[in-house]
Amino acid sequence: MLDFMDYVLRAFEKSTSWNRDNNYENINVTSDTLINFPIPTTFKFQTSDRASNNTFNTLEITAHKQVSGSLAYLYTDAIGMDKYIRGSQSRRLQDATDTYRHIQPFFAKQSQSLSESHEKLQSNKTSTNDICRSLYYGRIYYPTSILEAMIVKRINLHNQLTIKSLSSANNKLNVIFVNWQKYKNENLQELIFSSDGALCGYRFLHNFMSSPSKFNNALYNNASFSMGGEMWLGLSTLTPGCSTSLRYCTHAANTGRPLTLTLSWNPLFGHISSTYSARTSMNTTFSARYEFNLYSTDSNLSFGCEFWRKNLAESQEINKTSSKTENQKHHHVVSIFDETDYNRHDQKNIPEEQKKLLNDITHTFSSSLEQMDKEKAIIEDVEKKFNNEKFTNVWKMATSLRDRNIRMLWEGKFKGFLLSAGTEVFLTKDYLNSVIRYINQSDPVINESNIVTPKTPSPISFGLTIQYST
Amino acid sequence: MSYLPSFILSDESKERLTKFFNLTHTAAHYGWIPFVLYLGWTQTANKPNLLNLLSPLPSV
Repeated sequence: MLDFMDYVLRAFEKSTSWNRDNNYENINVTSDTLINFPIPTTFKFQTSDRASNNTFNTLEITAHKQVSGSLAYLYTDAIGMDKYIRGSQSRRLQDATDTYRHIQPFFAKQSQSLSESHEKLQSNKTSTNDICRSLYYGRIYYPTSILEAMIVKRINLHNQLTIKSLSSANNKLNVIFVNWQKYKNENLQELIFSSDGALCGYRFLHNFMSSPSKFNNALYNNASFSMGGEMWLGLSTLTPGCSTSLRYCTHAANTGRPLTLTLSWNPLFGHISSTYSARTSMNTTFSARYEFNLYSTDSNLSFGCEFWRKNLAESQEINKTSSKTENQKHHHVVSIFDETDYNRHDQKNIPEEQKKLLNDITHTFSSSLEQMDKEKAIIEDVEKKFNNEKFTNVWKMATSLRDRNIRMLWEGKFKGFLLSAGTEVFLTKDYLNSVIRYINQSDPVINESNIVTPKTPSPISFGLTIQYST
Repeated sequence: MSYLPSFILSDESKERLTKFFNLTHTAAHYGWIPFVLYLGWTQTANKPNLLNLLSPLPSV
């Protein structure tokens, strides 16, 4: 379950049109979400409130051997935060938890943001001021009285600065983390400095395919391909670190369901990791990850899946209404020239001859354009349908062959509360041996007095989180 | 400050600087959250009640 303050931070990014999928840090976010999802290990209760549209506060109480907690306050001057932030009663489950990240291709995102900013410019002259906003956050922990502070400042359209700090009252812990991000054209570059070990880092991510026509396997292509890397150096110990990754996102041609493939390589440790994640149906998501180490030849295969569930009575009503509206809706031929922004505004300036030529071309390629329109509609429908569904709970499960563990998490809504309960079970060698012995019991050679029952796998961790916000 | 040689900074100056940094750190540590609250209070048009601003409980 997403922490309320993380939810506010994401709303701030949405409000300032900052795309978090362009960060190299988030290049493997889909597979990490589906396989390495965090499982609560304690009982935690969190209540959040907003004093005004721009001020948020959270109280968290954790019970694990002893009672501890934290108090957090956040202020942001971003515009339209009330549009993005909802209380736990009305928040969609898709927004309350991390799930499959639908990566939009660079060109689609760019044309969308360009048209948005163009509209903003037309309606309001101060659109740059709307984007250049800040966020101030502070959280103090009890009983350790450690302070966690953060400032996020959007400097201009292309630059964002994040400063984080951890500080303890007795001066033992003082860490400052500075992250400067620059997103221009198709590249996101980051410079990072952490005072802990004087760690310096540089990360970059490049989005290929800046136009839809370069990879023309299908008539409508919505694929995106990104490549990134990172370099680290601890100045105090002169310890280096680096890694590089590729990400390819596309859609199944017939069903329009999205899938993501990633490949990461750490040359220093010789670690290779490849993942495949897909939304197999409207309610299920699946991910597989294979890791291999070139030096130790260790390997690991992990699987993760999600099952989204909804209230059957409600969903039947929604389906009835949506089928009615879909029947009324019919696809229309979209001209290629509608995709570009200039045509929308300068259509009147086109001479008659060129207009006729454009109409002729549209007529000639009308069947192809219809097909393209269909493909586009199928792809967009999948994401829209998932976002509009009223899911009530989700089951997340993951397993890893090397670690021999089973991770389970249930997240759902109950009477305005957001609940999250999970456990992790390790299938140890003793447990597996006892199961094998139990199976072999039917063997007539074994004496009846030596009957063994399999051991029960003891849950290593179990926890419950309850969230309420207004 | 202890890593600086004495010809750059005298022991007395080092002590003063250390005291100054400690004081700044304590002020920042305890003053950060009141500063965030103050920003929220001043930048909001309808100036919310202090109790409303402080309390995370929805009933207040």
